[in-house]
Amino acid sequence: MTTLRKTLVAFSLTASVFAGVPVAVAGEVAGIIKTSKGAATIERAGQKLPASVGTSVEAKDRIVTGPDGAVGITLRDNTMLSAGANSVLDLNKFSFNSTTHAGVVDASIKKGTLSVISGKIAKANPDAVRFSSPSVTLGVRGTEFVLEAGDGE
Amino acid sequence: MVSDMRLRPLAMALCATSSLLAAGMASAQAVSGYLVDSSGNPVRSGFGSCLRTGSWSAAQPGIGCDASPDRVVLLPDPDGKVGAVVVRSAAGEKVLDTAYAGAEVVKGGAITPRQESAEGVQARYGSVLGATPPRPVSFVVNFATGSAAELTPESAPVIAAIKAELSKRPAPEITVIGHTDRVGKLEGNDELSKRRAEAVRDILSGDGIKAASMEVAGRGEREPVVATADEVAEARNRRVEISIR
Repeated sequence: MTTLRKTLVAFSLTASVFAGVPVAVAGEVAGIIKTSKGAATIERAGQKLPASVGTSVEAKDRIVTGPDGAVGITLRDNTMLSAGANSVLDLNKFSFNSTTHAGVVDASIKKGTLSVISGKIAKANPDAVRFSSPSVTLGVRGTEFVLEAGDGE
Repeated sequence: MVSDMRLRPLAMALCATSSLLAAGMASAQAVSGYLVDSSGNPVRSGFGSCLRTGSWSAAQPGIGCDASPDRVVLLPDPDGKVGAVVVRSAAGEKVLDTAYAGAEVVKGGAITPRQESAEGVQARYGSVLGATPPRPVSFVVNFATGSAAELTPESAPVIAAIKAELSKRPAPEITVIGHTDRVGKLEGNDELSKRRAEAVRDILSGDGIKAASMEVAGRGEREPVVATADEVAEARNRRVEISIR
């Protein structure tokens, strides 16, 4: 490879890296928003997106709702999450293998309320599923529940 | 922020009023810096925090109610079945495994069990529960004998039912999941089940079925509807499931 060629390759690599920055690189889809009411946003890598029906949710997303807000999400393993009003919900980790049902679900409700109907990962691999609030970590054995964050930070 | 600043004096005024009211109650008494009622329970303001007396100091051990606690409530599924959750905190753990069993957990980690009710849950959590997405549903189709491209005649109404289901749902997604019986090796069956799922996906697309997304999965022999020993041929297990969420 000539030097010129190398430079060109290096340049185009750099350019493509930069080109990728403003358009938030689509991460792996963890789930889709199915219900949305009032003020509701997704915070992803420093950007705020409207949490409207049909929008994809990814691992590391934060869902934030206002006083009249609520959002319902179905994850790829059929876990259903909903965040109530004045809530901050972090989807810390998500992965799912649709053949083996191995995977990870890790979400925390920092503020407000979270309701959960557990999905396929909880059935196959309950220890890989974790929901938490400021003072609680929940282990899930295939079930439905509500978790409310107090103001204990 | 502005509304917050406006709210704060109001909240303080309300707290002051409610503490005056509480102090005026004959049964209320002070224990270790907090106001408690005749049964020893802390008296709370309308905002859920415990009311303090003049003898309160930050150094004394709290009674675990200065902040409103985190709360967990276990719910039955629509068939009335109840699973279980393990509530873990800095101070210990507690298993909840009955309908509407709940727990309050304070910052220090103390877990206090609470029995909730359907009505209480609806009153407190009706709004968040109302935002729950529609539950996924599944349809099953089978291939005509000897064919890997044509479905049985019985599968025709299923296609119509799938279309009806999709039209009812917000941002509907389809996962086409292939299943095999236990004849053959695990890996081979994973592959075979995926091919069957792909064939059904193509049939659905050909029938004009559209969704926000349509993915295929091969579960192989992992999820039989009829349990069998290994290497047993079982037609009912050779199926393709169309899961809609």
